[in-house]
Amino acid sequence: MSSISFSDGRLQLRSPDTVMRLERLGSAFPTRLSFGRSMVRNLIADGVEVRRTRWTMNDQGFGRATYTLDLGGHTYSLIAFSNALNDADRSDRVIAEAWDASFALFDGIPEDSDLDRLETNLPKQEAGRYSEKELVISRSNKSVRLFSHVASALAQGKQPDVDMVDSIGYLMRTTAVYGNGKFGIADRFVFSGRPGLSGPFAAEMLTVWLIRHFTHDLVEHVARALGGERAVPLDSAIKRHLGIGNSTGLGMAPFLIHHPELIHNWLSARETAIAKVRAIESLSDTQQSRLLELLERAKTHVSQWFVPDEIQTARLDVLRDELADMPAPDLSVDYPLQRLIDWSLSQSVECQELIAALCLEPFGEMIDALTEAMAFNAPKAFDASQTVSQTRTIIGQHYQWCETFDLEQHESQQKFWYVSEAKLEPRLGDRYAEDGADKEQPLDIARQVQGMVSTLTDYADDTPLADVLAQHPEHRNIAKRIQAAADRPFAEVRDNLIDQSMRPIDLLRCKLAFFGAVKFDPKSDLWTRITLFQGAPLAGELQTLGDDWWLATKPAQTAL
Amino acid sequence: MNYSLNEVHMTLRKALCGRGLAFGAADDFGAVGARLSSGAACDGIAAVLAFDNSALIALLHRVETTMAGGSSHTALAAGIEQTLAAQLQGHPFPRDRACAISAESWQQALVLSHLTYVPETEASRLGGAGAGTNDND
Repeated sequence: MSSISFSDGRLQLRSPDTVMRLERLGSAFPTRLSFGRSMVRNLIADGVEVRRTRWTMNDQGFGRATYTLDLGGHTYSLIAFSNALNDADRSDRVIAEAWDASFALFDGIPEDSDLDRLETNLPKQEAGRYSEKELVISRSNKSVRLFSHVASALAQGKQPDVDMVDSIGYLMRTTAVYGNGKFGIADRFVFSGRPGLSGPFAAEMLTVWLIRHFTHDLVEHVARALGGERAVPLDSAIKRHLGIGNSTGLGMAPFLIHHPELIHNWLSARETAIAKVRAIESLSDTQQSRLLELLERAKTHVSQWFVPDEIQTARLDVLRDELADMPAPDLSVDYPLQRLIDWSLSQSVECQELIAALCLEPFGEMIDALTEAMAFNAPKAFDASQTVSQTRTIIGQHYQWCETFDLEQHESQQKFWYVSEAKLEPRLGDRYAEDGADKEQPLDIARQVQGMVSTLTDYADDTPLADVLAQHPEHRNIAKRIQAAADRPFAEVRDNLIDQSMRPIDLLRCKLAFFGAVKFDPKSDLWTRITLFQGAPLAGELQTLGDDWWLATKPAQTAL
Repeated sequence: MNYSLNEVHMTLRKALCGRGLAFGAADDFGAVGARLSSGAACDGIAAVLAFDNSALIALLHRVETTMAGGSSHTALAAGIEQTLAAQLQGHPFPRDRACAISAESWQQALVLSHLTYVPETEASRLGGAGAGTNDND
């Protein structure tokens, strides 16, 4: 595997030509740098306590609730509305128009008038209108099967079947979590300077963690209504294993491509962390034991990860075999993590990424501060005085990968990304079989680079870009990206995003792993379900359990 | 009605793309519209849409060549020219909700944005993520 020196001359980072390929991005695992993990550490560090400040629910679990907490010197509230929903209307797609529950993360403590205002808007989601007091909005659908089972079991004084809890993983799954000014909610800059909410997607992560808390309360409420005095609360270990689900489709992919600076920050932080632990010369006995304990946990987690998707199942089968056949690592030698990571290079890409994530886990003191560099920085100023020659040099250094694609081939540009007029759902079309390619979204980075290279042949070396772009404004987007990538080697996904064989699911898994998602459950090449915050401390456990929940495993069955 | 600056930026970007402006320039002028709209200053959507696409490209060229020549912002006209220069150089600005966007210009932006969406067909719907699945599991 090739590598580059980057940011710190002593560190050898994996090459962007290796890291930024779709296959590897689509094999990503969550790490301790993932945003859900960072959020839990923020909650622990700040001694956060969650207060349920409203709970007006009928026996079926329909009504309103609010939760309030103080974080970083500010007060935030989760507002939740739970509604009856016909099965025929329960859809995870963007084009859905009703959900089991809707939520807002509110800046401060809401008055009843705020709830009344939001009760007429939040259940409509995109069709509603919001104010600067709402920082995030979201909605969720029940896992009807698991919610019913858990409520019924608790009502009868029993705990739910942990195998069913583990195989589904959540009582509700969110189908969108909107931030940064959407539909009139607060711009991110309103809170991005506040302690605890400065990281990428921090407000969204806080919202989702609180929604998980709400789902636990809701199922216990319904169980009490069903069972009366016979009902019991959820066992805390089972409750902790109930994360929050999420259904994610194509919308995430354009986000990744439209934010090259942000993606560089994420990947650069993770790759720097991997390089740092690779460079550790020796481990203490405690560190060795911890790594071996985490390796066993990872093996158990993978052994409990089953999905219907044939491709992912085949990959998991290989991964399980590789882990079973893995020689017991001798961590007492010098550079033990380098040796462990090097061993993984002869295994599958899934295994390589799992081992890299494993190696980060015990070394929070060394790497957690890297998360501070993962937030979005303002885009670099665009220098239109840069010459054609200088632009060619950057392309030669950072965009050689574009030249490997023969875009004359039919299949190489078969797909096109577009936005449907149906609730603006992002979709992927077949250029040769469907209408709409004239409204294509500019995710065809490799094709744009090739087009730019071709155009530049018509200009003298010392021509400023401003003159080129005045005559060819169609190249302005790629010209800006090329300039931004000059000192951001992880800014581009180094694959052809319009190729017939391209799988959007790879882009989704990359982004979701950075959120902290586990149990990727692809439903096609286009969308996936995942679980967030599985194993994360509950609201009352932050100080006692801490941040030790990487790749949670199934709890023991308590009395059925 | 007031708007977040990000929705002004994104809506204006889409509107300009719908009017046929290339994405890269549309993104710059979407950001310019948000800057102009910050606080109660001005209707940044109307201010940008008042220029046709050729004029916007010419504006970019004039501002970028002026900046490249080392001239100060005072060599540029107040309003959209100086705001564009500030945007291209990444200068910070006081950010607040957009309160001066008229209902007419917002509607105009939405109509133009609609031109970037692909009409719904059965094939398109079936090709979308999640097609054909039962979410009552």
